[in-house]
This record gives sequence, C-alpha cells and structure tokens, in this order.
Amino acid sequence: MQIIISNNSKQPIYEQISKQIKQFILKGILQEGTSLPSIRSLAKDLQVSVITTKRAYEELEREGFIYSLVGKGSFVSAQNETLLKERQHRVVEEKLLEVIEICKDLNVSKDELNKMVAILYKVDDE
Amino acid sequence: MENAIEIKSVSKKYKDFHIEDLSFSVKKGFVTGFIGANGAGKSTTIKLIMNLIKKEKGNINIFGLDNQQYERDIKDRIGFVFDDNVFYEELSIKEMKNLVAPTYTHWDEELFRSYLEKFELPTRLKIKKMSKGMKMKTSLAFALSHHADLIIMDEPTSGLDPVFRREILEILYDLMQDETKTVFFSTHITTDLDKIADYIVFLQNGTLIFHKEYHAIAEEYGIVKGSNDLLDQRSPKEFVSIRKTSMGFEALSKNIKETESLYGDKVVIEKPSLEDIMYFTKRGKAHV
Amino acid sequence: MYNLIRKDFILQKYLMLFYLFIAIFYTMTDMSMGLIITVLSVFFTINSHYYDEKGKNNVLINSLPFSRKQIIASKYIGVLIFLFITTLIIWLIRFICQDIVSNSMTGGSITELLTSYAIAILFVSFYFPFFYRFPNRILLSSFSILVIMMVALGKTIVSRFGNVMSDFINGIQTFFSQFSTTGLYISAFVITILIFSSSWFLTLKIYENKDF
Repeated sequence: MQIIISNNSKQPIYEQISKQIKQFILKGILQEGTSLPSIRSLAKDLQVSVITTKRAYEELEREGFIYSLVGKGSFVSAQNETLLKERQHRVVEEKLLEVIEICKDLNVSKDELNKMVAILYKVDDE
Repeated sequence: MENAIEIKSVSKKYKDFHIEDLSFSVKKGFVTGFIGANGAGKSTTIKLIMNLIKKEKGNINIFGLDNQQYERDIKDRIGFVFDDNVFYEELSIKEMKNLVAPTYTHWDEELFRSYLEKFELPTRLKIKKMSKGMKMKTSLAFALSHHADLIIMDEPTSGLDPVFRREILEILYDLMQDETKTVFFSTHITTDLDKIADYIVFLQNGTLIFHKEYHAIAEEYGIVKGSNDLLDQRSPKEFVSIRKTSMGFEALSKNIKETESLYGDKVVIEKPSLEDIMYFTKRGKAHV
Repeated sequence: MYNLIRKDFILQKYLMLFYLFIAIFYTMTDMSMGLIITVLSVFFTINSHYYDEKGKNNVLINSLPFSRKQIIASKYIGVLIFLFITTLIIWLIRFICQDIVSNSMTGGSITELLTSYAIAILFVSFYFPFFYRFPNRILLSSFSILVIMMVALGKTIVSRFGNVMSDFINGIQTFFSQFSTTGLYISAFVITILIFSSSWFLTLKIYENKDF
C-alpha cells in the first residue's frame, strides 16, 4: 500500500489518506483481513502528526471500511458489495434523518429538500 | 492517566504582565504545540510547569502528580530544552555529562553517544565556545538521552538551520512511535507545528485563546476575503479582526460555517495558517 | 544529593589546585593551620555559590531531578565536607613538610582547629542567606575581591595591626578565662550549631521562594 499525500492540496491530509485507503479497499488491492500499519508508524512514514492518521482511521472505521481491535491494530473489513453499500447508506441515512428533522423544524418541504439535493450534488461535482 | 500535564486555574502576577486563571492540559502520547507572540507568557508557563517559578494560585499536575510535591520523581521523567543555554559554560559536554547523567535513573549512555555523533557535537570543547546552534543541539541530546516520558521545549529550534529542524522533526516522529511519550513545545516556527503538532495551545497576554486539536482549527477558522461593501456597521461577531484596504477586506473568522451561511459565495474562505491566526487575534485585541 | 555535592567539587576542579598551592605555600611560611582552613573554606563557599548563580545555571539545577531542599542541603553539607577534607590534606602537608622546614610549625592544636571550623561555619551561616537573598553581581564580586585581598595581605595586616590585634585577642581571652573551659567549649559549640541550623533553615526558605 503506497499513500501519496499533497501538502498543498485543499483537501485536509487525513481526508487524502482515508480516501486513498478506501480506494485500495474498494478495488480489492487491500484484501479483507489485511492488517493496516498502526496509526503511529503510518504517521512516521508519511511524516504527519499522529492525530492525522488517527482521524483518517477513525473515518474509515466509521464508514465501515476497517475495524480496530484494542492492542492488535486495525484491519480491513469484509467488503462484499451489498454490505458495503449497506454501510454507506446507513451513514447517509443518519445524516438525512438529521436534515429532515431540521427541515420539519424550519418548514422546508420535501420537494424543496429534493431540489436542494439536486443542486448541491451538481455543485459538488464541479 | 490521560494527560501528561494538567494546569488548573493557575495565576502568576508580574509588574506589567500576568497570567490569570490559566487552565489547559497536554494529552499523553501526542505532540502539543504552544504558540503565542513574544511576551504572551509561553516561557512563563513552561517555567511554572517546571516549578522554576512559584505559582500564586492553582494546581499543576504532571503525570497525575502535583508538580511541587513530587518534584523529583517528575523531573526524573522530563527532558527539557530551554531557549538559552543553561549548562555550565566552563565545562565540556563530557564534563557536563558526568554531572547530569548520574542524576537520572534511566540515563542511556549509548543513546547519548549516538545523538552526539548524529548532531556532530565535540565532546571536549568548552560549552562557552560553541555556537548557539551547537548549544541547542547539546540541550537536545541531553533531553533525549534518559528515556523521558515528557519532553518540554521552549523555542528549541530558533537559531537552527532548516535542515537541522527537519532532522529534529524526524527524531520527534520517531519518539512518537511510543504512545507513552508526550511532547510539549513552544515555537515561533509554526510551519514545524504544521508538520507534527496534534494539538495547539494558543496563548496571548497571559490568557488562553484556545486549546484545539490541530485539524479542528482549519475546520473552524478561516481567512475570509471579500469586498468592503459586504461589511455593514456591525461586523460579524465571529470575525476575530478585520483588515480593510481600498481593495477589499480580509478577516479571520472563527466560525466559517456561520460565515458561509452568512455570505455564501460572495466571499472567498481560505485555510488559515497558525501565523494568520496569531496575527489576526493580536489585531483583534488591539482594536477592541 | 551526593551528586549535587560532587558537582560543586567538580566545578571547582581547577580551583582545587589553587587551594592546594595556597595550603602548601602558607604552611611553609608558617601560617597557622586553622587560618588556612578558614581561608580556603571561605573561598570554597564563595565559589560554590558563584557557579550556581552564574548565567542560567540555576535553571539547570532546578530542572534536574532535585528538590530545592536537596540543593540547599548540598551547599551546607558540602562546606562541612570541604572542611573535613582540607583538614586532612593540610595535616598531610604538615606531616610531609615536617622534615623539610627547619622550624617547627605553629599551631595544629584542637582548639585552633575548632576555632577555625567555628569561624568558617559562622561565615557560611552569614554568606548563604545573605547572598541568596541579594544575589547582586556587584556585591558578590566586590565581596570576593575583598576576601582575596585580605588573604593576600594577610601577613601584612597581622604584622601591621599586630599590637592592636594581640591586645584585642588578649582582652577576649581574659574575658573568656572567667568561665570554665569545658563550659565555654560546649556553649560555643552549641551556639555555632544553632547559628548554622538557623542559617540553613533561613536559606532554604529564601531559596524555596525564588523564581528562576
């Protein structure tokens, strides 16, 4: 696994790391069960702060790509397609529920919300 | 014990400057950077931690122990680097070592020699004959050679060339492989902190401005640039300070989410450097 | 604390040669043993304080794993150890020089030794609290110069003011001869110890409240 980070990019370093690891996992380069380098040794190799790699791993764990065992390290989770999609959907669903609550609070209708989603998605792609 | 250093409501008054009710902690296993303009109180704080200066109020715990009651045990586990040379000028490194080494329980002679070699330090030269850089490296060699759990440094890299500063960072990266080690250092060279700090403590005029995880700073703070007509009489409360020119304004916002919802894409929001934060915060106090 | 005392001796490594020279020189020129001991102890005391106050060495010692109690204790005990070692060395010098120097050397009596110890201890008892409280560079240097001058001109002073001094000393001796010798010694001993201990306590309080 080779990770290249750019110090000049707008994207925070922890995001760059987690994105690249995610790609490796999705492409199957990192197989299920593979142990990942510890956050500290990764930090040293990439010459970043420990909190950076910690964040990256935390995000990966939150999204279900890896899991950690105390005292043993972090490992790639089983990534069958359905399970992966399910995990990802769950993360989005959580956020959507939050957004829907706010909409109800502020009297934003479902249609308005859908329109906003369409616009924001386009903006993100630019 | 989660925190290597815990400062609670510490006060110390001087004639023209005081530290009032200062509280923050330094997390074990991480690198905490300490920033602030000259005279902000960084050196004073470090001296309070080391019990070199007597605090008037409050508590300081190191490794969970009171820093006055357990002074000896604590200092046995601390490696220190001060910005001025504190070693006896008349002695050579070898002679200094003979004085210092026996005072530490875990002195590692081999490790010390490897640092002397790595830093290219002459063992028999009198310390007073060394350049500032060499003196600094000497302090560092001593601080790193007794398996200290906490490394405290006050401007350790000022006066050192950029290449050597990189090498020190490498040593710190190495050190941090051990999750029981903690580093706390003050510096003006914020680019060094960008590379290794996990947390930042920002002091100004003896007051704590913030203590944040490094990445959280860029998530909350931002440099906001826009045209002057966007500002009405009341400047947004999340603007720490504003710099206006005839071409437009530049401000530091401490809540870019607010700023974004306020101005949308009428402004440019950029990631702030630690220097930006220090600069705008200082202006903020001056213009209040 | 052993390391602290050792430090004070190591720092004066080269000065020790100077002390040795003085010891030999003045022994040869028939100065009383007690006086040499007192003089050297005064030098030692002044220098052991000086090196720590110099530059930022205070910061160093107080950053190393020592308590302020230990630091001050090492100063007081260090002087006592120096007194002891100096006595042995001078005694050794006299023993060796016995055959070389024709005239027998004066002094060496217990009284003399004890008096010199007492004077040295009284000096230390005054010096430490005063100069830890007022570590003024100028005061320090002028005091050291004064002491050096007094030592250098020691013989001259004694011969010049010989009469006045012997009258003074006779006066004191007459005064003290009123009391029993043992009683005198015991009270002197007790008083010296008291002064030494109070000084130690005082210096400790001063040092504990210092900011470096």
